[in-house]
Amino acid sequence: VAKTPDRIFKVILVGDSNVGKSSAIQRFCFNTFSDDRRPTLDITFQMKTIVTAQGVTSLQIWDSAGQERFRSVPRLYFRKADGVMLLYDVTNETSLKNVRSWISNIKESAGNNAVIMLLGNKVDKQRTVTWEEGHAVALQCKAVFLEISAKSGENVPQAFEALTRILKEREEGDMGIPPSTGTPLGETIEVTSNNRTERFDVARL
Amino acid sequence: MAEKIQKTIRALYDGGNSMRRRSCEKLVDLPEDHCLLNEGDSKTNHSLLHSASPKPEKRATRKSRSPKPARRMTVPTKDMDGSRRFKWRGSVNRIVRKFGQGQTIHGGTFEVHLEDCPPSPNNEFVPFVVDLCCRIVEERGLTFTGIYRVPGNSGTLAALQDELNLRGPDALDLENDERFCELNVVSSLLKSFFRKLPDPLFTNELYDDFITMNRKKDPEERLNGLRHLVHMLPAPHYQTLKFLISHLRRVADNCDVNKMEVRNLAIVFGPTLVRSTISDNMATMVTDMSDQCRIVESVLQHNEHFFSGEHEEIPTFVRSFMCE
Repeated sequence: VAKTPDRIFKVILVGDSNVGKSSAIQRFCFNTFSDDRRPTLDITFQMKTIVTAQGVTSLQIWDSAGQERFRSVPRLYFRKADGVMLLYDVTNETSLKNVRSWISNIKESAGNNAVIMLLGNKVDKQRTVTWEEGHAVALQCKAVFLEISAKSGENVPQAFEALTRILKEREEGDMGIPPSTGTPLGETIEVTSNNRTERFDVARL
Repeated sequence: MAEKIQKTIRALYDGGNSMRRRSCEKLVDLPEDHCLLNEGDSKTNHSLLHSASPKPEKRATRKSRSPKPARRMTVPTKDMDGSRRFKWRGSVNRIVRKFGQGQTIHGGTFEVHLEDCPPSPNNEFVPFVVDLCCRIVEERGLTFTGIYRVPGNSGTLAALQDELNLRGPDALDLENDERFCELNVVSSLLKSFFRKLPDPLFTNELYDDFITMNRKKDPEERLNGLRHLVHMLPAPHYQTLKFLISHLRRVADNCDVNKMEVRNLAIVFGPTLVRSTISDNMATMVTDMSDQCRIVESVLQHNEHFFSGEHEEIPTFVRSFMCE
């Protein structure tokens, strides 16, 4: 059955070089993983359709280059993005420290419009950043937080689905449409990771 | 004075081919206080360059700062906990020591032209910061996974750049500064230096020529053409490129450990080194990006061909540095 999406959301992935942005997209869109990815050069995008009980949604997922030379590029896309997925590497503390500068970068160009999701990648490896540290940063930045692994696939679809849900509900709220989902606006959305259930206040995001 | 030097250098060059002469003239056009002039002036005196020759008046008075007393070096052989964390200090200290000999260097390091950067004591044409970063990476970072790909802490990096710009390299305590122990910061510092050059390493002037030459179909014509263009770069650019490429080569030689083979290094360095500040917009960024990478990849792959002596018409005073 061909399904026509009733919504298209633009999502952009950003973060330091080598945190696994392209790998996360590859896992989500094709469910594969390659060990020897090269640094990304330009901006590319993938489409992926998500079917949920609430309807069909298309995600236009933009991949960005993490190299410092290209720092100015994603800024041009932030304004049009509905959601920003900001990745860091749980085996590299510096990548979490740099999250703050990314956040100010996003806020500067996108205003407070885009929903920001903070993702700690590479949980399959020996970590040096704890879940609590990542969570604390996410709280400060008012971002949704999840830990994922592009290699094992853990939590990758969940992350994209959670973001889609948040975007949908927010949009319906903005347009004054009563929410079609079971979650009334202004309440919370639940995201489960590592057997921990996180509640996010949709209106606050 | 400048005229006289121009003559001297011309004489040196007579018989050399025209493109080398061109790059030399470029050097002579530099402001009077540029170190090259004082040194090129008396080619017999080039040994002076290595000793603590007093810098010209103009340079010394640019910032009125009293000369620092020579730093006393105590080189700990082992760290507190007995680890060999600071093994690289030895060669870094060599740089510091040379700076300690009364040679005070002023002027910014970032966002200034390559020829105005504080030079390395080991090679007059290579900026201090380039020499320093490469040295640290070579001593400790050759086996570090993702070296040059993974960025350092952006706050630390910004602070380090400001310090280098405001206070100069000799104000840094290289020996005890923890920031130089973080390889990702050091490698980001090097990339940032090249990214902030007002005239990129492959120069604005030759940018279009490089891109056009890279698109030549015939591989031999392309390689020889690129080599020809590399030799047309002004001396500071040429020497710095040569220095950087031989360093990156050593990084790539360890790619089975650090995972940074020639291709990956080219992706990281291509758009940083080969760019144009004149037409720096999204369109050129996208259309020329693969060319920028391929140029650096070729230079890295065939570095011996690119920098071989065959028609290396480098003036004697330059050659004397290279033999060091």
